[in-house]
Amino acid sequence: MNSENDILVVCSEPDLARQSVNALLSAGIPNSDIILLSSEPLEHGEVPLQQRTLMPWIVACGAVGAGIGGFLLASLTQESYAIHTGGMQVVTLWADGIITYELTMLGAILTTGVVFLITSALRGRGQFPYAPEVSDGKVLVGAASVPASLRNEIIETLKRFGEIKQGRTSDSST
Amino acid sequence: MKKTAEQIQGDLLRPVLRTSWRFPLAVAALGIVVAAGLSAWIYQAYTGIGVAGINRPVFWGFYITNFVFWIGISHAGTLISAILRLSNATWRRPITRCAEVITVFALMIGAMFPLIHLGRPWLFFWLVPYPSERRLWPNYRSPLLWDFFAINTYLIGSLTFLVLPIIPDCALLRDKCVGWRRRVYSILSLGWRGTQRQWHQLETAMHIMAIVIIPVAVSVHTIVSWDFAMTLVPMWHSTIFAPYFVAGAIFSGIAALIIAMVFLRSFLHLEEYLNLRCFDNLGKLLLVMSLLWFYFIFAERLTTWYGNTRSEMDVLWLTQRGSYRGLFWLMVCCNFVIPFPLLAVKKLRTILGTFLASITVVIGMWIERYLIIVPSLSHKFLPYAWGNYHPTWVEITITIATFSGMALLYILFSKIVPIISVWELKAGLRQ
Repeated sequence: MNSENDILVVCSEPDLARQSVNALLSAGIPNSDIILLSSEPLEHGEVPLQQRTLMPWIVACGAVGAGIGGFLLASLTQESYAIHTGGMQVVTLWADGIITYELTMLGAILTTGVVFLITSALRGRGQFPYAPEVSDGKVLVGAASVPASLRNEIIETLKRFGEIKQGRTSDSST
Repeated sequence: MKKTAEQIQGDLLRPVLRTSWRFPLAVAALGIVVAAGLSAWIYQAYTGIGVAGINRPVFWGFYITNFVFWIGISHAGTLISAILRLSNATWRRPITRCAEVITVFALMIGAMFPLIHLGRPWLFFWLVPYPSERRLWPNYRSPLLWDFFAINTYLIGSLTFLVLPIIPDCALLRDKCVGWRRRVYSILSLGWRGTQRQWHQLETAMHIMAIVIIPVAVSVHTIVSWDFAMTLVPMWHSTIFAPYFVAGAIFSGIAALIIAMVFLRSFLHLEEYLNLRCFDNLGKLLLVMSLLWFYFIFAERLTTWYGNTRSEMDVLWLTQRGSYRGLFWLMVCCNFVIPFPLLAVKKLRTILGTFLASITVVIGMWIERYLIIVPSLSHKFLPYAWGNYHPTWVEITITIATFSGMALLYILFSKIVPIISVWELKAGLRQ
């Protein structure tokens, strides 16, 4: 998404960002090619960009997997040593349940962290343009890989909403 | 007058970007106390556990008191931050990170005490689940092993809960700093750009973590209480211990948070953010927990008194009328008699009032942990097994050092990362 064909505008406030996103959608730019960078989360109603995530489902799977692993850890290791108990239970569900519960939660926590790092933070490196004005509260809106036939129209449209930064902007993390 | 986003950013980044003369002085003073505690521990490890006061029959003393106390303090952050996030309480925004930091550091300090308590701390790895040379795994039926899993899960969860919302603020500092600090914050920000997808992923992750961390927090102190309740020691074997400990943990945690906030607002000049509204709301929560604490201790002691079993009554009277009566009634004063009017009367529920109430609660809750542990162990079933406990300078030094360590870690953290979340406060402006 970070190329010289990108067209970027720096909007001074979220309302202008919303209008510029609407304008890009009206001009036929698909959702996936619209760039939107801000220093705080914009509510879903503020900008009409659909965001979906499978994170909750992946976390649930991670939790279930870790829980099964926890139960197996406790129960199989208890049975691995041929201890004589005179008929008393070797594998106790009350106690093993606590280990299972804690590892289920640990699985959910670790999966959340890993999924977040993979799908958002690490993937972002070098992939998106950036403008230092974003950290001053401005919103960077743009269209990625705009075809040459649409460039002038998009530039004229976006000029109404803020300062145009065409192509690659200064990447402040490098 | 309402602040703009730029003003908020400037106010909250100022403690990180600028250093006053008080910072190195505070670090040095606290560092000396921490070094003294570390020296005491090294002396104990080198000389032997006998330099501590723990001995037959009181094998759990100051160290386990501190363990339970600090794990309890850790409940501040998670429960306040997570519950208030889920209920979308807007007044939580300035205090969530303050609370989450307390959780992480209190947990780290609390988790050290089982190691400090070991006569041979270099053998701590025996608690890790792996087979020994005789192919024996740890005993999963032991509450001490449940502690290992619970505390580690809670620590990892709290760290995740703390670190995730710090990433956008590290990105902000990356853009505002120069030189080596810019490189450090670039690494810490993990390539954060602020795309909509990243924000959505972050908020989803925070929501999931808030839901997951609440039952974990409840389970941790429940399992800590089971270190006592699963035994047959007089006044320990009680089903009320689990909720009693959790309520006490939240109680002491809120008090610790209020104390931290008072120091932050005065030393970092954050009066407009950590304002009367935050203290008033936390003061109300503290009042509720004080009442709940009183209810639990009344219910526990009434049940014991009514059952009238010899061994339990001996311990009951030992604490209320015997050699521990001074500490017991001091505890009641600190946890209920003093805080109740300070928090219940609106005119007294000021920042100073909640601060004074919180100080007494922290003292009272430490005494409560001590009174749960030591009197019962000193007066078990058979007279030949009765004894006394006297803490030594080693235990006292280490205890004081942990309080200094907590303050030191807090000060260092607030120097590296904004102690109030900048992006959350800016987002709250528009809401």
